[in-house]
Order: sequence, then structure tokens, then C-alpha cells
Amino acid sequence: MAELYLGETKNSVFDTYKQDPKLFDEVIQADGKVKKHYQKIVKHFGKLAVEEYQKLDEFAKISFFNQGVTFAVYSDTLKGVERIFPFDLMPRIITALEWEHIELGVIQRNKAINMFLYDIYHEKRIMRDGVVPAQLVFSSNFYNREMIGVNPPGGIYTHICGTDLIRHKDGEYYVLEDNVRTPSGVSYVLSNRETMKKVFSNLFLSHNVQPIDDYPQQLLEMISSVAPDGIDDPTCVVMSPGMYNSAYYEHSFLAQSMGIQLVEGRDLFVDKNFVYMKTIRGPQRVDVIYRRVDDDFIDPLVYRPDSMLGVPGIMGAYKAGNVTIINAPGTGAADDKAVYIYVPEIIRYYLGEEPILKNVKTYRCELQEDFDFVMSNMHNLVVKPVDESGGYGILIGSKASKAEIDKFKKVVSGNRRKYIAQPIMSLSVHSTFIESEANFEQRHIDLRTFSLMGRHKQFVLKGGLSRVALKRGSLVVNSSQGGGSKDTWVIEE
Amino acid sequence: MALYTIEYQSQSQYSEEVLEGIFEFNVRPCSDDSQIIIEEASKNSFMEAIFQFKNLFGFQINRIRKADKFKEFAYTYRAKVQKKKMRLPSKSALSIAEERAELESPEFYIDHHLFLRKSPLTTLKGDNASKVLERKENTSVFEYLMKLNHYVHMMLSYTKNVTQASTTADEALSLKKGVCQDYAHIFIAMARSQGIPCRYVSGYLNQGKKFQGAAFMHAWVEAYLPGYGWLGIDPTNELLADDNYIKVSHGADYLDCSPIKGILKSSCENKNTYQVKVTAQ
Amino acid sequence: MMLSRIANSLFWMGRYLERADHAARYIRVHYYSTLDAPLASKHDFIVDSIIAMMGMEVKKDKSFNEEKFNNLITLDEGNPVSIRSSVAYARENARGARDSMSGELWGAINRYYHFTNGYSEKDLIKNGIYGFCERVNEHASVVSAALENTLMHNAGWAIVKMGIHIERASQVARIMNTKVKDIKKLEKLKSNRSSESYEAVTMLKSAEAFDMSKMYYRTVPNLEEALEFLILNKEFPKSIAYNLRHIHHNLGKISPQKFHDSGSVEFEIGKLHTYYHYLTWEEVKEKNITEFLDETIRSVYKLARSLESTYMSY
Repeated sequence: MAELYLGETKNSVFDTYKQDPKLFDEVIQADGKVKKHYQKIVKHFGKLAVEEYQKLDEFAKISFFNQGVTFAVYSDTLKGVERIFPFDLMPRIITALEWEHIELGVIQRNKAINMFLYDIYHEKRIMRDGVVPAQLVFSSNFYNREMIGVNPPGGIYTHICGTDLIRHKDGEYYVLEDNVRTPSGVSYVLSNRETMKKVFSNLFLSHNVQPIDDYPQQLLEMISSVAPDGIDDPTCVVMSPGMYNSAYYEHSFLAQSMGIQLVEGRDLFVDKNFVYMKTIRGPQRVDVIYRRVDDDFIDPLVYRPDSMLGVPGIMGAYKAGNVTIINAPGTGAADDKAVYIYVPEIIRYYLGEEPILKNVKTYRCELQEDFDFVMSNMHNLVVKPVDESGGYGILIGSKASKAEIDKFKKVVSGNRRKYIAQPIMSLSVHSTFIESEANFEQRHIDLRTFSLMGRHKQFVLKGGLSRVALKRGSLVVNSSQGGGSKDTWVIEE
Repeated sequence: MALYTIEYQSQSQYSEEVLEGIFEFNVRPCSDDSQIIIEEASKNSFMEAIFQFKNLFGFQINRIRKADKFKEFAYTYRAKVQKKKMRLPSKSALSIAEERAELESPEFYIDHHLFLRKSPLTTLKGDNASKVLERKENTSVFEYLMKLNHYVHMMLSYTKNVTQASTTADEALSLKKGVCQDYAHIFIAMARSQGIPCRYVSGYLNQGKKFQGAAFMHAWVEAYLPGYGWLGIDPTNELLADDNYIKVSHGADYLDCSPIKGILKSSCENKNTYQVKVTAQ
Repeated sequence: MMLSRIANSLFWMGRYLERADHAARYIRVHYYSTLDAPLASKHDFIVDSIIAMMGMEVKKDKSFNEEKFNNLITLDEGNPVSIRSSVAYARENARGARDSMSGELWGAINRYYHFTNGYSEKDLIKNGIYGFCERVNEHASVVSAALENTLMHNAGWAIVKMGIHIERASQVARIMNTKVKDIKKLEKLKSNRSSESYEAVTMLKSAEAFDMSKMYYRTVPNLEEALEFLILNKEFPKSIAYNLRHIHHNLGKISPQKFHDSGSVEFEIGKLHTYYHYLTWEEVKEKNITEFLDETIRSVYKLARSLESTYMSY
């Protein structure tokens, strides 16, 4: 079969595709040749006229709507506007060989982070040995003193981990963030795949795409595996802040696809250190809680007393070993972006291995040398708060005005512990259909992987969520800020 | 040797029915080297069984849960406590250099971080941060703590009802007024800023003496004196905590020691009162 | 296994759905009857009747006019018993229990909500209140069909049904009570007997009972017959006796035990339902009818509270 080059498809959605030579294109090589693992896909898309493509796009949107994959935007009134996340039909493809590298890297990282969490809440060896500064760990807003000396079942803290990866222009994968609190997005991965199977069933026949639909089963197995000791047939629940939460769809989706109860804090109560849910048949004991409520809100007797989302006394039940909370409280101490800097050292320290995945060079504004560098190079850096997610509060130096930079310098100087800075990584780009142009263009993408850690088993979802920044030139892929997503295929060639 | 009878009583009234409630009491004298409970009893108007557990710092909390409606609640705790005569230090146990070596070692920070970490209630900002009493090179920890005790004691005038449970050290210092917990928070903020671990203590005072704050639950601090251990200091009365002080619990700040916590399913008005009776025998 | 909170949502979904349906029908029947009613000051009379039946307090000051009133009872979000409010509450409750119902039922409720929510004051003026209320009743029928035909008739369904029967029994009692009072008012206005029988028919129509009662009595029912039919008839689905029996029956689907202590909600409904089941019209006639109906409403509400505190509190 002849190999396809860009420009060989006529009257198609690729007609005006422009390649920026400075960027790493996932699909097309610098010489214009379509990469081997994208050949079939581009050939297929290359046959589609714009109108045909738009029809498929419409079909996909309806599929999302019918699956109920919407997120609601609320105001003061009762009316919620329901929207679907922008979805791009062209899948992101990762070869099995490349995936193996990612998977090993992600598992290695999670293992080390889990050991780190155990250590900082117990012997604190890594700090005593001077590998990670104690000051840094203890000053994290997410260091949870209630977890000191607590032994979670199976020694597992980070049951569910969402590692964010990017591919730099050097072609290497870098870890951008380890989301080990309550990473979200997996429901979109599963519904993206459902939709793709409906729209392009023939493409699945010609590609050996690794399945992902076993995720709910894997998740349930993992959840059950960390039940308190002595519970053979645990009652597991998903705990949501409620239907006004923007990720409620995902909470409900996960509960339904695992076949377990979706509860809110007000459905639960603690009596004598055991957790029960209130049912029409009276109290029923709960053994494992996959909570999608932040640490600060889970127990008003221990954390924020004004929290209406939590369950008074639940931390006591947890510490007594009568209920398992997933992820364990206090995991946020490991996804503080200033702690991120030390993850390669953390891996070497606990595992005695070299990190498989690279870290992005990161400057801690708290350190004088780094701070000075950041102050004089902010225009070339991304500056981020250490304890926020969703792309909030960050400054991309190259895209900011002088006034914005000056203002941000003041903010950073006012709270140096809170900020880190990184060189602006050139995220790889992927062909993405742009509605306003009625054609494919290059857009920056990243990859959120989802991994599970159970009592005796680690699992990484094959693929994950490829997020795409839909605005031209934008590096911000977060759904809250104009990002979309793509189905992600891991294929055996 | 002193023998005390302690009685803590609290009453709560609600303007409407509360649907469900859970209360935690942190009012039980702890057992340590200097004190021991000889007998104790507690009562609650719900006649519910009391659930006991130990908090983060190892102190026993009494929890009562009421699963159905109520409009009032009363709780009483009584104990007999035996208190040993304490031998209080009059100077540092170690030389200044030895003290420094201990306080500045990384291990020491790791082991005492809970009482060196700033908390929202014990952080001084702006102008107030500059009012911190600095420890000079040639001042021993003990000397410094005594100076700080005097310094903090003089900073506030003891005044009731101007501060609340949620008042920070910073706010109290600006007001120049407050009660025992405000003295304690300011003391803690300053001691910690000098690298001396310091913790908040709540407890009872012998009501037979003319101490400030004896009518209620009292608050003082414990600071870490190298070579000695935790030393009880009461900036409200500018005293060291001796056998007139019956300790209940300690923590990073007031929030770890509040005598009563309640989470209620209701949005109504409530009125809470409590009384403390301490008699020496 | 069902969470008490979900049960609560389902129960109130049923109640609000039923409430909106009755309000719309009452308004519709009364609006229609103004067209040929035998009374001069009929408009005021009907406004008062609707206010009483919906349980509102309305100050009729100078700024009060028909347009405002029509808006108040149908679209006003500030009025907690307006049709739009009831439908919005029904939908909020349905949303909370979304995972325990069929897509069809949720879809039907959602479309119902979008209809009332999207209806503008302009539409109301253009199409008239009758048109709006008719569409509301149509949507209610579609929801009712989805409820009957797309759910398993298990505990969840039984709870929705209990909400519906509770609300229906109380709404029908309110309709009767309002109409009996309306008739007394008309007597004071020295109106003739014909208005009594006319209002009796309006009462039956407000409960969709006119045709069946006519068949049952083989004549157009008079007031006594209309009341008897709506209180005691064992086979007509709007009657008090019928609804109490069905609450009893549906409770059996969720109640864990067969035998019940006095003081339990099962005992309470058993007693109440049996009382109405064996009650005769002669016995009712000896009572003051409005007091009897008030007592009925109170008993039903008390029952609803017991149901909630036993099975649905969280």
C-alpha cells in the first residue's frame, strides 16, 4: 500500500491543513508524510468532504446528548443550561510500544508517590534523609495531620490517579501533574469511545484498538479489594457533593456502571465509629466510600465545620479501620506542584530506579535562586499556583502583557510558597477539526491517564483522555477553559 | 498532693426542633505525669450511650449522637482528679549552645512540626508581626519564655466578650484586649516564630485562688524546653502552670481543644451556656 | 435497596406532579364555566374559588387585574403553588432521583418542565389560560403513562404512587370543600337552586368525574350524589376511599413486616383506609360536610408526614 503524504487528499477536510515546522505534529512528519500508525485514519478522513464530515459530527453530538453526557451550568435560578463537552472525531493514536513506556512510567510514579505518602505520615524517612525538604511537605495546604499514623487498608493512598502527560517538541513524554486527589474525566473517555464506535464502526474493524470498557469492572474490583479487613462482601458507594456539582454526571455514571449506590453526605451517618446509609429499610452499613468530595469537606467535626457535604464522624470511622475512603485523605500533599519537583528523587529513593517518564524543569519561587530567575524570566515561563487544578490562576508568560506580568510578579512575591514556574513546554499538536474553518488544523493536546491501585493489582486504562486546546495557539486544554477532547486509541500495529 | 472535684455542665436550647445532632466534648482531664483521674461520671439529657475515642493528640473525646428530634440538650461531666506537686524549673536544663543545636536540627523540626507550623489562629501579620519578641543570641530558652510570658501578659487587658472562639492572635493583638485563649494564641505565634515548639492547652483552674479566668474553662500554653520537655505557661496570669492547673488536652490551637463541638441538622437559633466548678479538697 | 433521600424525591415528585395537574384542571374547568355560568359577578367569584382551592393568599388591591391573576396562578415563579413552580419542583425532585427512573419517564418530565418553563406571559395572553392549562394536563397524562408503563412496579414506583394518591386525596377533598363553600356563598347571594346543581357538576368536572358519576347514578348527579361519589366510591380513581386504599396497598410493597404495631404508619393507614371503606353516605350526611372534609385533609397530611418520617427522612 502506498504511503500517504499530506496534500494527497483532494476535496477533503485536510485541504488547507498547515504544518508549523516548529511544532511536533502527532499525525504528520516534518516531511509531510503521514505517520505510519495514522495512515489508515488519514486515508479515511481524507476521503470525507466537509459536508460529510459535518454530518458525522452532528451524529456524534446527538449520541452524546442521548447518552446524557452533559455538564450543567447553574445560576441562581432553577434553570440549568446543559451542554456537551466539545469532542473531536479524529482519534489520537498511540502505538502499543509507546504506550508500554507510558504505562510503566505511570505505574512507577504512582508506586513511588504512594510510598512517599505512607512515609510522610509515618516515619518521615525521606525528610530525615534530606531528600525532600520537611518544610515543603509540612507547609502544604494538603498535608493532612489527621492522617499521621493512620494505616489505610493495603497501605494504599492513591487508589485512583490521573497523571497528566504532554509530548514536547523533542518527541518525549513529560509528566505535567500527578492528580492524586479526585481526578475526573474518565466518564468522558468511556463515552467518547461509545460515540466513536457508533460513528466509525468500520475503522474499529481495521484497527486493533485496545478496549477500555472494562474500566468500571476494574474500578469496582479495586474498590472492593481495599475494603476493611474481615469484610468479604463489602457495600461500596460513590459519594458525590450532589447534583449541582459540575462533575455530577461522572459520579452518577460511575455508580451506575459499577452497579453501586450513589450517595451524598446527607445519606450517611456515623454511629459508634461505623458508617451507615439511610435507606427505606433502615440503616445499612457502608464499607467503602469512593468519595468525590474534597478532604476539607468530608467531616465537619474535623475539617470545615460549615461543610454541608460531609459526614460528621467519618474520619473517626476511617481511622478506626471501619470504613475505607478512596482516595485516602491527605493525598494532596503529593500533588502539590512544588512537591512535583521532587518526584524523580522520590522514585529513586523508594524504588531505587531511574524515572521512566521525565519531569518538566520546575522552579520553586520559595527558593531565592529560583525566585530571582523567575522574576527576570517570567515572559518565558508558565507560572502556576501549587495547589489548584483545572488550569486556574496560571500565567503563561509569552501570552501575557507587560502589565499582566508586573501584576503577577507582585502576586508571586506576596506568597512565594504558593507558586512554581516552568519553561513553556511546546505541547505536541494534533489534527483537529475546527468548525469555524470547516477544516482540520493543528491544535495542542495533552493526555490524562487513569490508573488504579488495588490491594494486589495495578491497572492503567489503555488510552485515557486526550484533551485539546481548541483556540488556535492556546496551550490551555482544560475543559473549563475552552478545551475539548478526543478518543485515544492504543493500537497494536 | 492536691485533690480536686471538677464539674463541667453545658446546656443548649434551640428555637426550633433540631432533626439530628452530634456533639463532642473535650472536657475530661487527661492523665499524665502530674495528674490522674480517680473517679468520673457523665450524664446527658438524651440518655444516649456515650461513645469514647481518642483524638489526633491522644485525648479522650466523649461523643453523643441523637438520631431524632430535640429542642434542648444538657451534658454534665464530673471527675475527681489527683494532682501531684510539681517541681518547676527555674532555668534552662541545657546550655544555650546545646539548646540551639537541638532546636535547629532538622530531625527536631520533623518531630515537632505540628507545634511549629503556623495555623490561621496563630499567625501574626503586618504590623503585628513586627511586635514579636525576638530571642537574643545569649538568652536561654527558659529566660526567653519567661520574658515572653511577661511580654504577652502586658500586651492585652483581660476583657470578656470582645473576642470569640474564632478570633485570631492577629485580631486580638490589634484589639489589645481578650481572654485566656487570645493570650495563648499570641504566645504561641511568637514562640513558634522563634523556633520553639509551643502548644495550646485547655483545662481547669483551681477556683480557690484568685486567678483570672478560673470561672470558665481556662487556656494556657506548653512550650518545649530542651532537656526538660513541655513546660506549662499561663500568660493570662503570668504564671507557670503548677498544681493549680488541671489539664484537659492540648493541640495546635483552640480548634483542637474546643470543649464542645456540635454538628446539627437545623438552621435555627441556639443558646448555649456552660458552667465550671472546681473545688480543692 | 433504596436511599431514604431518593424515596423522598420520588414521593415529592409524585405529589408535585399531581398538584400541578389538579390546579390546571380546576382553573380550566372554572375558566370555561365562566363563559355560560348563571351568575352576573361570576368573574370575581371564580377568582376567589381558584384562590381558595390552590390555597393562596392574595390581596386584591387596585393593581389587581385578570392578566396579573392569570400569571400569578400559572407562570409566577414567586408563587410556590403556581403551576410552573409545581412542575419545576417535580422536575428538581425527579433530577435528584434520575438514576432510579426510566429515560422515558425522565424525558417526559423534562419536556413537561421545558414546556412550562419556556411558556411566556405573551404566550399566555395570546393563547389564553385555557390553552395553557390544557397543555399542562396533556403533559401530565404523558408523564402518567410513562410512570405506569416504563418502570418496574417495585418499591420506587410504589413511593411515587403514594405521593400521587396522597396529593390526589387531598386535592379532591379541597375541590369538594371549595365547591361546597362556593355554593353557600351563592345561597347568600340569593341565587337559585340551579346554581347548586351547576356547581356540583363543576366539582365533578374538576375531578374528571362527571361522565362516570352520571353513568353511576343514571342521571346528572345532584350535590349530595356528587359528594358521595367523590368521597366513597370504591371504583373511581379520584375518590377519597379509592386513594386511601391504594396508599395502603402501595405501602405494602415497601413495608418490611406483615404485622404492625399501633402508632406505626402502616397501622395508621390501615385504620384510615378501613374507616373510609366502610363509611356510609348516611353517616357522612349527619356530619358537617366542610368539617368532615377538613378532617379528611388533616388525616391525609398527617399520614404523609408519618410516611416521610418512617421511610424518607435523611
